[in-house]
Amino acid sequence: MKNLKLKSARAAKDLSQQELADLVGVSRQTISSIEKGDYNPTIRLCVAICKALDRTLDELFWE
Amino acid sequence: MNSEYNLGVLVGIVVGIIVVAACLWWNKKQNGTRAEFDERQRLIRGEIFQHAFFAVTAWNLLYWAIGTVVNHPFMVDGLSGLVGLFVGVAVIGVESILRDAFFSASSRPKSYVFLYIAVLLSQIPSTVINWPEMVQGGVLTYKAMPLVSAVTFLLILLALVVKLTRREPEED
Repeated sequence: MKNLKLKSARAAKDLSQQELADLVGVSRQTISSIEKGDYNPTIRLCVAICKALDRTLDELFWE
Repeated sequence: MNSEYNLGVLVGIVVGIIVVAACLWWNKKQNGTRAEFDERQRLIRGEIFQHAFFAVTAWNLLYWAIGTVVNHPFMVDGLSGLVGLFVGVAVIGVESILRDAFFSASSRPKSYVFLYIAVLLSQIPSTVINWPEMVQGGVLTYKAMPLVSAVTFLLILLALVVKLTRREPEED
């Protein structure tokens, strides 16, 4: 299932996939895979993404 | 074995060490001290190493089965094991490139194209020199190793070129 919340939160921060990837220390393809729902990130990466986007885990990853 | 042969083996080992050292230096220069792969890449690389293991096992079984059926070896002793290693390297290289798990987040894939072209080109002279003696008495000899190496790096290079030219655009 696509993670549209993450995509919109990233867009709201005016960040590209590459910029978010650089902020959390992963490859652009990993961010792309999470947004497309192809990869379930670990809680550690979820927290890093939440911190980078100033959102909570509930806001981005709770369905 | 004559001294020229032993000298050739020694030179080959030295050149191999130099090439590996150059690759390691290049990799360190590209990545610095950062972690090499992110969590998704590590997960995928685990799967790919499994696939490489199965590919090498399949190669060994196939070689043994065909050799048993026709009752004639295709390669000199030990060569099938070396070719099997290159089969494994090819599977790891090609699959990890195609699944975005070959390059770390900090490395620049395009710069590796030139490295692989250089490695591929370096195999051509020895392939050409050894070509007439690769097969002796219907059996593949160790003189085929430069060709095996060249084919392996060609496959990896092709996968890299395909990946770079068909890279999906960033979704914004």
